[in-house]
Amino acid sequence: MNEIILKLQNIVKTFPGVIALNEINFDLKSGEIHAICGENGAGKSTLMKVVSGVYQPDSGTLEVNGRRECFANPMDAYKKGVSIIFQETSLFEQMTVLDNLFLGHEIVKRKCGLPFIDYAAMKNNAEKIFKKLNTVIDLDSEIRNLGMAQKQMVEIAKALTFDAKIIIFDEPTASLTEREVDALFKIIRKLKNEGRGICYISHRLEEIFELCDRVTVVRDGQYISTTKVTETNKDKLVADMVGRKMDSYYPKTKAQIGNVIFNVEHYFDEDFVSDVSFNVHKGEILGFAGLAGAGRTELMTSVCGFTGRAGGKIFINNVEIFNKSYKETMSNGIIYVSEDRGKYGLILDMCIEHNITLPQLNNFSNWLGIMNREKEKTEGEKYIKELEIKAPDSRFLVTNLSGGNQQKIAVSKALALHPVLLILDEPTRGVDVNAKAEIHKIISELTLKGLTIIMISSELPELIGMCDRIYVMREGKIAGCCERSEFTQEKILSIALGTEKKLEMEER
Amino acid sequence: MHTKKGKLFLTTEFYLLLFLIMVLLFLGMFAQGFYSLNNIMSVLNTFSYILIAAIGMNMIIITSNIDVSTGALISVVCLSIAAVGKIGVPFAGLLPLAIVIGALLSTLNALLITKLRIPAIVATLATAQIFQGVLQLMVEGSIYDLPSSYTWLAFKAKLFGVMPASILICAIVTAISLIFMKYSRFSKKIYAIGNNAQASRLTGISVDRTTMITYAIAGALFGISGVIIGTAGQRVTTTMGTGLEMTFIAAVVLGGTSTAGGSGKLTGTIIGAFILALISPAINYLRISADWSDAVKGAIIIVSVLAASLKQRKHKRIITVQSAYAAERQA
Repeated sequence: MNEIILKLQNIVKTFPGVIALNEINFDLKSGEIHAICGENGAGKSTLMKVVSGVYQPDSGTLEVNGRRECFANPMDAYKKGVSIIFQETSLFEQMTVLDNLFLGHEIVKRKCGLPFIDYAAMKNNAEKIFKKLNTVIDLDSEIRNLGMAQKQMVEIAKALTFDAKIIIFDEPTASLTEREVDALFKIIRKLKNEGRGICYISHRLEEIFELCDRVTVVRDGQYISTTKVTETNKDKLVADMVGRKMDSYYPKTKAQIGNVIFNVEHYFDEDFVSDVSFNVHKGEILGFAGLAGAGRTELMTSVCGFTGRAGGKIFINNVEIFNKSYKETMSNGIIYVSEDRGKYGLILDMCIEHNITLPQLNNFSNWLGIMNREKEKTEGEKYIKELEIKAPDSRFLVTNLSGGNQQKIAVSKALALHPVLLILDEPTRGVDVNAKAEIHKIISELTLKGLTIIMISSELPELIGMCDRIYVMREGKIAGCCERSEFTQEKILSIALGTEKKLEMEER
Repeated sequence: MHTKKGKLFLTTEFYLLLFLIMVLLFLGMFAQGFYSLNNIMSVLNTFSYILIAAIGMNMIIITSNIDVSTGALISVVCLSIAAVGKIGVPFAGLLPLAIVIGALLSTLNALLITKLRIPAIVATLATAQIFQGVLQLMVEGSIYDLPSSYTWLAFKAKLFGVMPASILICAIVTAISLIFMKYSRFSKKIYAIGNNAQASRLTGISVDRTTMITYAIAGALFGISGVIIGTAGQRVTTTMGTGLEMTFIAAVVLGGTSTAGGSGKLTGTIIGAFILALISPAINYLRISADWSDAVKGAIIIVSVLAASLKQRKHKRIITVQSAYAAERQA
């Protein structure tokens, strides 16, 4: 234990026009969990991709167990005991769990001189591994039928099929619920106690303090520091990460709260959401908390007319509306900004101004349907300025921007429609610390201008910092509602989980 | 969670089989003479060459590629073996020749797709024109008066005196393919690159190499299919294979293989090929104008794909809700 099993020295990796990693040093001991943190684009994922063979370094040395290695691809690294568990799982969706576990290193048995895949041996092996992980997964089910947490278990199991001594986790908790995170941490600790070395990349500082032994900070491709977790604190880490002190994560400015402008009564969607009632006051930021799968997104998409409604009433300013389609919802002044920018929020291969004007082409074209490019440009430039989007001009392709700036464009697109009520679904998912603060500031400022906002988020500190009231959902129903004065993480979480009593049992 | 038994009843193959049995019963009741020995053997012969080629097409489609040059490729195979068959080369020489030509031409497709990065549909659309064009330059209309050594497979080689030997070839090819698709490491690579090419690369799978080998194997199968088609008569024309690719693709799609790649079972393709082999004779025996046959093929494909997607949607929705609960319970 505690011998160095992975050592990186002076690693340099450049991409055309960018130095992604500049003289990075890093080491990992057996039986250790070593966190790597830094803002988005700081180079932590790139570093781990070098370790796991996805990228090859331009210069510098990589030693595993004292031997210099240069991995051609991840399979090569796997076979030498280095496994990476990617942020977005790299599993094969339409293949079975078993096939995924052993892809590229199937166990074969020779019959008549020909190699036949030995399913029985593979199954046997896989069952042992899942037993060790305390997880029950049907080996014959296809990956696409699994939930996010289960997929991650499969990835971990895959690493164990190689008996990996070094396991890299790249943002493993990004799409897990709190409970799933706990289960994952248990497993990671178990792996650590078996003497494996773990690299842990995360945005969530709380996790680093809860789980890790040492932490290395990188910023703009540079190595900044390595310290024991016990010898540092959150503020120091954040200061290292951003290179300056951050004053406030959540710049909440209290807006004037008016009358109820939007309410939903006894709402049912077609399959999951049942008997939900809530209301929003003018100028309010209303939060929706809950575990993943609690039905928050389902509720909002249904209320906005994307999916069907089975019962209930919707009122805006006490006038009943029907929202039979999203088009109708938009005309009622309600705009929904999706949690998945790339898939539903933006057209990544189009430029900024075209994304912003897309929902209202009529307003930017003449009677013949010819677009007025000047007007579009003006609109684009306006939001680039107002929301401080970091882009050279409004004809810049969205795909080349960072997550935070893309999110700002998604918000701009909504604002350009002059909504009365803005529904933001996970507005800061996959966004770095700085951009997060900027988005929070923007949200706060919008309410000062009289806009009303509903915000779904899986990050409790964010909701607690930003919202005036929080509804907590569980299993498709509203489980509770908290006023700002009674916000605590523990309270909201216990409502989301079930009861306080249940929570205690969990801990035991 | 469904039990193993429950799963069987939900599969596309199960519904297809049900459909096939219904069609067979229907034909027994309304198509006079459909179950005559002659017709059964003729249907089985058609089934043989459709299935052999469809097995190859299935592999190509699983890699999320396509081949629309197969018809023209088969025409080339037919005329090539006719040219050497004319001078008396026996079947034992024709079959290997057809396999080699098929594999080579199909590898040419793969080269265009992998090395020049031309999308499969464009590349094979172009090669289809080239294959057909070159044939027309080299052969004037047809090769005829072929010797009986050439048509040996169709007229002399009968199992038990009645069954065409093409069925035996088909059975052997199918058996090997079934084992290959389940127990070979290579088949996992075919599925993997169709699922997610990028992730496959990260797993150390060479996507280009896998694609090329897949096309080569498929080409060899197209060659075998071409032999059965080409040796059926004493005259071989330049359009023997024209349009056949659509039948093969149809058999594969009908069998439940997604054109997006990554999934699809050979058992489905077998049933799909059988249904397609039935359509033309069925229409004939039902005394409907033969002109209907293509339209019926098209309609069957649309209905079956629609049914599959409806089933998928319903299935998926149950799973999302279930998995949400399950994930929570598990943690």
